[in-house]
Amino acid sequence: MSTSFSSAAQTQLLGGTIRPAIFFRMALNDGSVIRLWGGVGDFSLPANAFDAAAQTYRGLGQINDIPVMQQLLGGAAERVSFTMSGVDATTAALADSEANLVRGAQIQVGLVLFDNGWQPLTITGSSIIRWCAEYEADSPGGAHDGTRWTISLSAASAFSGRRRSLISRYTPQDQRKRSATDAFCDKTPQISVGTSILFGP
Amino acid sequence: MTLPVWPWRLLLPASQKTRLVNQAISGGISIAGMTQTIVSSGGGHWVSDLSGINLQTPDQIRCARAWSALLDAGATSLVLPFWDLAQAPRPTIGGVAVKPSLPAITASDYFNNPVGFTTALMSSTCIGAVALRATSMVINIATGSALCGGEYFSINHAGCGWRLYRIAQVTAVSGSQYTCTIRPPLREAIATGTALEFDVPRCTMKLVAGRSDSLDPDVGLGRFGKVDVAFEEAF
Repeated sequence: MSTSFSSAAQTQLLGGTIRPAIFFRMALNDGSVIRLWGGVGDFSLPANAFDAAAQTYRGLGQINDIPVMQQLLGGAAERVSFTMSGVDATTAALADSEANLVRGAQIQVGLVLFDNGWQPLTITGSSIIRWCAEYEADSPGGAHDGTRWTISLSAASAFSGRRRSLISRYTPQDQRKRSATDAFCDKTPQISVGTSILFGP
Repeated sequence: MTLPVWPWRLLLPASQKTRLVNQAISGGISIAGMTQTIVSSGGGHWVSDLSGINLQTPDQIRCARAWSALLDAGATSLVLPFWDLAQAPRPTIGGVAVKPSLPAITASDYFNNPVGFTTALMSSTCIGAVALRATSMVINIATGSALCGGEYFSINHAGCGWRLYRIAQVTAVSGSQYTCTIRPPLREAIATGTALEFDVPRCTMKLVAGRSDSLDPDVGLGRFGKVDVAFEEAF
């Protein structure tokens, strides 16, 4: 993933008016993909790092809170929450009844910049979208305050999962980083439940 | 699904304000006092206020009530015609704009009266296929007068139905063909030769949430009322 903006994008970002749009992509566990963007109407996004062919992003104009996203540095954990308000009952029901499809789903958030004629700029390399953040969904939820539905989606970056496996082990690389000539953990990759490991030379 | 068409000649507003709403926020104020504007709506959507609809007959009051019931506080979309003929590129004869002939309507029919003119005044098409979200297109005016910018037209898209567009600027003219910039970005791709409606532009709208009871008249003396209605583009 390139981290540099094109000169056209840099010019707009340094100027007085910015025309950004946020794109949201979530690959559900059943293989289907939810594609939304923050503007109005449909948007046909050309093939990119995550979509092999051009795909239509639905412009519901309903994503009303995009969390502040931080570039992941040094594996720092980050947990965010997306909310959509004013969704219809069918969409809200998805949050409850299809929760099993959502947990663990991969979410990507991307940025597109438009020029003065509302045409997308080449933002980085030859792409019009810059995917800025990637998350794993873990807890969808819906709420109805009497007049409108709101659904929320909690998501986390890769290193902040709250689930831990029962068994953890040092890899040979871990141990040799600590002590370059120590072969104590060289056989740990062979460990699995029900096997006996013969330690020693 | 066929959407109900607003009874544009039964419920005539005294004034109508139609605008494209873009979401713009400030990026904050710099130490030099400059502000950065962030427009994140991707081109905006239409909002139209119909003000001062006088209800002076029992039919008009019933019509407003019937429409209020039908629209279900914004859950049901409708096709809203726009009366903007004075600004449209209508043809002229001897320097005088041609007047339209209007079909007869039935005051007690609130949903099926004809929209448009008995004979179309203007005839125009697009030249070349135009892509989804394009903001520039070539318009051929077969019958009509020159485009200047500021005119409304609409397209009855195959997928998303009637959508309203406004000509922002005419950038080139070649005979009867006008290269124009338009707003908002095209809602759906169109093929070459697609008809453009300048006579009575229309757009798929719904009641603005929060003003969903605006079609319910406050009836004075049991006979007269006045309503102001706000619609926004529906998707």
